[in-house]
Amino acid sequence: MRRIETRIDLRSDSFQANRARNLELAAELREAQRRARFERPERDMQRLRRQNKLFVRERLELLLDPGTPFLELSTLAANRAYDGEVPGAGIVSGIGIVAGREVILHADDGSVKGGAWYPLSVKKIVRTLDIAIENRLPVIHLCDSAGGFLPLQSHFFADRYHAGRIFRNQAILSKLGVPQVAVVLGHCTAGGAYVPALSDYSVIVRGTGAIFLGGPPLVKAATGEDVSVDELGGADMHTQVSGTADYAAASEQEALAIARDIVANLRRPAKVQVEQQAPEPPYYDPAELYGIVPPDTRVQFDMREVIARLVDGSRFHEYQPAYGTTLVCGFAHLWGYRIGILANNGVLFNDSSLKGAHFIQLCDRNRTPLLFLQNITGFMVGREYERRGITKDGAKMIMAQAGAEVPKFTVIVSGSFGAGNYGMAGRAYDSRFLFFWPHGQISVMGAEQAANVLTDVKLRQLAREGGTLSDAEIAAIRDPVLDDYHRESSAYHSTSELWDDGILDPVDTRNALGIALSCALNTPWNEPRYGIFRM
Amino acid sequence: MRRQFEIDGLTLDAALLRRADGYALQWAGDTQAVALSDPRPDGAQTLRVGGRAVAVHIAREGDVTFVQIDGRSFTVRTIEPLTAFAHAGAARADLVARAPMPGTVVSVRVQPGANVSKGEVLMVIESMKLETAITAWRDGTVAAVHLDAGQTFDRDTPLVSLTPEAAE
Amino acid sequence: MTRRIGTVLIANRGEIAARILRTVQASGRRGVVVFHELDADSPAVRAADSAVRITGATPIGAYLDAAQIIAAARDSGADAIHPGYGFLAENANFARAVADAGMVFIGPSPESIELMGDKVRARAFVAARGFPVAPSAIEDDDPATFPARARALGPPLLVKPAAGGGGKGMRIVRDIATLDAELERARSEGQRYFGDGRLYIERYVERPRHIEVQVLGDRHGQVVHLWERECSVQRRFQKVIEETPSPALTPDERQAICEAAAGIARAAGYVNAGTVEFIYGGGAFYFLEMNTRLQVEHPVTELVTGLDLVAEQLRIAEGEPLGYAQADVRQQGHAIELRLYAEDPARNHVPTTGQVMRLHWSEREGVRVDSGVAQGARISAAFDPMLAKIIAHGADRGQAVARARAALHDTVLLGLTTNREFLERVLADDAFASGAIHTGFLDERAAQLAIPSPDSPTLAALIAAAALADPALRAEADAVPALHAAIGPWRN
Repeated sequence: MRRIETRIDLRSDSFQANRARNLELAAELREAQRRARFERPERDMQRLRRQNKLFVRERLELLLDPGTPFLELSTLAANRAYDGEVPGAGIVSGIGIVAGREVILHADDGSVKGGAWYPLSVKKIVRTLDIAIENRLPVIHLCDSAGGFLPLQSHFFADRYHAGRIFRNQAILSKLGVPQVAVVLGHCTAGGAYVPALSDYSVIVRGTGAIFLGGPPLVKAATGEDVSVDELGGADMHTQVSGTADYAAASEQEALAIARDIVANLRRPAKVQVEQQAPEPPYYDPAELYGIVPPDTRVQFDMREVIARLVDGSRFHEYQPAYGTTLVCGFAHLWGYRIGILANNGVLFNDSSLKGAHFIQLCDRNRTPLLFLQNITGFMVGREYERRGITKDGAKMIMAQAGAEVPKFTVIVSGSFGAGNYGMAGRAYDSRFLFFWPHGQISVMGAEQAANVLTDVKLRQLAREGGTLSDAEIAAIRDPVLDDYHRESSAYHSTSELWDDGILDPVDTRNALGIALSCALNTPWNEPRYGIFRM
Repeated sequence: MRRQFEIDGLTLDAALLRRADGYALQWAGDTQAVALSDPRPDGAQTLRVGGRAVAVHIAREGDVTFVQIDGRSFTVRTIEPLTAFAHAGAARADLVARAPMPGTVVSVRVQPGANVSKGEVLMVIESMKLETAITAWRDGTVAAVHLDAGQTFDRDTPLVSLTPEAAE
Repeated sequence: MTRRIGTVLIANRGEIAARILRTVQASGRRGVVVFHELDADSPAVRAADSAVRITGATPIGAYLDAAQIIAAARDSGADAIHPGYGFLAENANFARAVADAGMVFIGPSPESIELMGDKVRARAFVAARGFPVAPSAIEDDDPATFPARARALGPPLLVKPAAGGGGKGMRIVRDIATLDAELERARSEGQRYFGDGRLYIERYVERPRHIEVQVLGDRHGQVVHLWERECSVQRRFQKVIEETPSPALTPDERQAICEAAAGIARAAGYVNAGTVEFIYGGGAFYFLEMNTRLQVEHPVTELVTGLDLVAEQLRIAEGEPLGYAQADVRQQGHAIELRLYAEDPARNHVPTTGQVMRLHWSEREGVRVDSGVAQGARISAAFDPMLAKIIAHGADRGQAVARARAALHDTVLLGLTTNREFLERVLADDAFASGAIHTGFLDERAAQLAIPSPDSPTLAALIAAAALADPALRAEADAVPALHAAIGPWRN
């Protein structure tokens, strides 16, 4: 496979300007993540210490194998919600190695509102368990939650993907034979009590851990019974009497060590056998990505330069290099795994759509996972293109992409607008993982475009009534639209709402995808099978 | 992976990590590549830690590793995390007197069931040509005398047990 | 009368059994070894022409069972019994029983054993013949006044069982107030070790040096000395390092002390190998006791004189004359012996137990190792904790010590804690190098001799060695998938 020959001039003004701005954005991301992970009101940390509990980040380090990676997911969930007071939505989610096994972790963060579940917390747990189901990843639940945040119950209780889905997913995991280990490090009240109960193994810490459907105050109110936390749902009661938990531990440290021992004894199912070769770092320095990708989504760049900084040896076998050139397709290896890449180098035309649909089927047939690198403004519009069937050609690409049986991975490198998002495996298409780069934007159309469309509509309305708008009046319509779009199309908004699995510093993308690819090999892939392509 | 290592009275927490190429040791805030060669004909092995290489002799028995390095010999006890926690949590230490050193039982002064007060001689042992009295470390009842006069024992062998305090 | 000894039964174990067997077999004789089952795999048992298992209520009891051993000797056709040291070596009744059974006891006469075995009588015997002895009080003289006479000597005092030897039951009393309690304990230990609770007290010489002289006497009345050995490096009255010549003695003093020893042996009509022990301090020496046996530390004498003491013992036992004069016995160079013990120097030298999992002795020039253990041996608390003796010979003290140090460094013995490193530290000590040693040397220099704690790089190496040698731990590390191992401790 040939190495991509870079055309980037590292000394150019544009490279340097991009680099400066993207490094700032990366630093902002790091800082936002640091705050979400570690910055807590002192009184909350004091309360943890008073309760003799570890901070969730300490628990994590004790649980994970030392010296191994941890791919944290949706660190900035809820960063634009609840006045920013629920960092990470109060949940830590991520993929790591415990006792040599790939596992996914759901950890309640007791330092955030006592671990209470907000609507986005529920969404994050459900997504975590969806990932577990899709990738057959054993789950470790670190339970420490006060229960649902009741004032917002209508936003997390009743609907299909609300809290009930957590327990439904647990049951499905069990049915699939994917093991779950719950470690009860705090209270598991009401719905939360089902997390350990639905796990195959549960460990509970004596003194701090408790499981009950209703806590002592609720019991008192309901039946008048006076009962202590330990009597009602403590470690000894559950491991000796009720059988709701399996192992009692004297400390959190011991509980986590027991959990590790449990995982060490889990069966290791065989992974999907794929062609693999010895990994090789990219020939070009991934840090050059900062200078390559313009921070403004409207500025075009060559996605091959990005590919060259993600894949092994920067080697890329480009498929149909001269046809449908706005969609770059081809094969490469990432951390030794062969992948098929679809990357946008402009708007999708008929030929690029057909090329994409064809390439997806090719990869599906030869069992090659797909990586979508999005920088897409959409499918081409206009009379000429409609006459050539741009809609049905786009439909072919969606049909191929949605129907592919090999795992898909999506990175929104820059813009993700309109139906292009659909063709390029947006969130709705069940990519195994979807990551965002910090400056990326996502919306049904670009902000300018949307503002123009809305002001045009208004102007035409007025024109029919014989009126006109002053520049100030036009601005009064345009500006709020622009503001809303800018805010709601940002990567931070997307990740706040869990439209993705997290924002990545571009230099982290290679490792994140390597870990993601490894996960995807846990689930057998079905034989290729498609719906009907409109020819 | 993580272990406790007892060396020369110290308890050290460290971890053995797998690397792309071989292993690394994580200890005291430092991570260094480590490697151990196969034994040479004389039994010595080359141990690499970071940039240093030394010849070592190693023998293992259970959780104990004997290491001779640069003319010095050490005993390293390896403790698995769960064992360490189990020991930390156990209150059993109060129940049994263990041999402070290898030796021979000279005489047994109590029978099971006897009520003893703190300081009372339970057993006399001989070691290093010196007699040592094993005395009651608290008031209590003798649960068991584990050895008879004349028997030899290794270090840490249980000698006399008292019944748990709660049971009295 | 001469009597050819064709088969020798060795009534001992460990290194000395192997040492005696070597000469027995090298001289074309058959060697028979008795053994308790704990010693079934020992080097002596493996090398012996025949080995007879003996039993006892305790392992030590087996080796103390005279009747059983004599029966074994008779059954295996032995002409003679060599008792080695310890056990039955200084038991006159045993020597007599051997003779009564028609065999040769390789050692002195029962009468010599009896005389020298009773410390009180021996001392009186020596004093009466004009040899120097330390001021003392003997319980047997008048038990009622014994404590008063002891007090009158004034502190410091050394309390010993009258029937004792080898440091067992000895106590130093510096505070007269504790005398009664110490007497009580010494009596109990004497009773238990020797079946004899009688005591004996003498003035304790501060910073004394222990110097002893090897003697040989034949059945024809000739006695020679084989020069002195200095055994001042001791702990709890147990010798740790012995050497010859003594760095303390002037040539005149050496001559005087060696001639005194030969004179005492001659006066006693002593036959076979023996050792006369002296306390030396401030230019004077006092008779301490005479050991009527082959000593542990005899190899240093062998290396400087070129004589094989066991061969000499056999020749003497057969009735041959020595065949050489005092002037023929020369000290050539310097020899030093290190006793390798199964003990923990960091824990007050308490005995240690375990299995010898790896064993390698030095093969350097000028180095001899007398070992009683083989790889795989289980060292229990049943016997004396001495594992082996490392003996080095050099042109002078400096060379002998340097060779001894190198030999210690070469030694690999894994599976239990030993005093190997401690011995190295003693040899490296400045005071030791200058020869300024005395029997309290190890206690006095305890701080300097304490083995330092391992430094941080050493700890890292030890952890790495233990971790990498642990298959279960390696398996745990190996369980991490290759990809994740390659990515390492990355966080996004």
